Amino acid sequence: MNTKQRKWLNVLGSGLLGFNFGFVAALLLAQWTWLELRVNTGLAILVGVGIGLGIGLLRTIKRPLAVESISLLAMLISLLGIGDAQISSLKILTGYTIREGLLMPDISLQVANLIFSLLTLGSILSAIVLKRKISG
Amino acid sequence: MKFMSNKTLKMSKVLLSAVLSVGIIASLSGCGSNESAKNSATPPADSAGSNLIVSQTNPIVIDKEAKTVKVYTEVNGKYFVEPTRHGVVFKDGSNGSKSVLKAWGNQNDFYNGLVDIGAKPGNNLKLDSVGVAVEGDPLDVSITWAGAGKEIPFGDGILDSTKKGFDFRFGGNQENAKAKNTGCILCLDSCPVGITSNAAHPTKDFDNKIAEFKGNQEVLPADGTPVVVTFKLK
Repeated sequence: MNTKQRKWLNVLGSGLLGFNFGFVAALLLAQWTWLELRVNTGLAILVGVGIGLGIGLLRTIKRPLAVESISLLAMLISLLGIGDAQISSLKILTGYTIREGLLMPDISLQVANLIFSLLTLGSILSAIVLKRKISG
Repeated sequence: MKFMSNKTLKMSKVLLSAVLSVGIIASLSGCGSNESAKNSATPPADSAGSNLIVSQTNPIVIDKEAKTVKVYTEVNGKYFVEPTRHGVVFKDGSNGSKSVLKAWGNQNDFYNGLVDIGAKPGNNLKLDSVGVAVEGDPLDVSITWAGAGKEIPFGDGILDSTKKGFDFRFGGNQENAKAKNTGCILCLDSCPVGITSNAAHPTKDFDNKIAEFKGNQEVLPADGTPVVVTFKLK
């Protein structure tokens, strides 16, 4: 992998990390009912992705696995906490947050959950690849 | 320092494995659930004697003889887990994604429909009203969907934290509804903008955290399922 490819992988990885943190922010903001009924709190995801991409363009992620783990842990804790650790609630929480955040209100919760799973998986894979490149 | 790095790396790997496993299990189980029910669901035909069928393309059906207005909606699963004060809202209104049921017909056509069946609006609420119950002709509101097999009282599909019950009225509010374009067709507490709302809870009950409403997951069908809401003049 040459320097240019590594740079773009860094941007992608950083953008996906931004997705993870934006998702957590969207989940938490949706708990503020007054705000949730007035604005699309899911937009925090797009804001997170934007910030992530911006950071990725300007800086190299030094510890991709550690940051990825923190973001996943934050997602897991907030999902389990808000959804009372019930699988049915977790599926609804992730689904609606994604479909509102990605401005796709007409997709089903199942499709939204699939998008969420793929993006999360992508962020994990990009973190692993980035870590290997740094180590190598 | 090296020890710390290795420890962090090991922790990261364990966490990643755990999260990955949970994610895969959750997404796999999610892909299968309710998908068939959703795809097979189609709204039932208007059973009130007319040949009109409530659908996405014909979202409001008025039956003057039966004194009913039927509205095509779809379930928004979000409000099985989050609280809301919006029962039925037109999808393209500013509150279109904030209700338990997302309507395909707009609030202005719905208003005209209620007037057509002879309902009289209350028009007693102002935007700054606090603690005032909506007035207007009382309405029987029910829901049904493919497979439900019967009309179910709208209130059964909603969890009210106070368990007060529901008393739906034709509030009117045509001017506010047009000016604000929220799309509100049915609000779960008394509302100066919604065309119909619930007199059992005066204005601002939800905002003041006196009452909280959620969709009842044990009664309502899955997210995205078409549901026909029938408003009948009592």
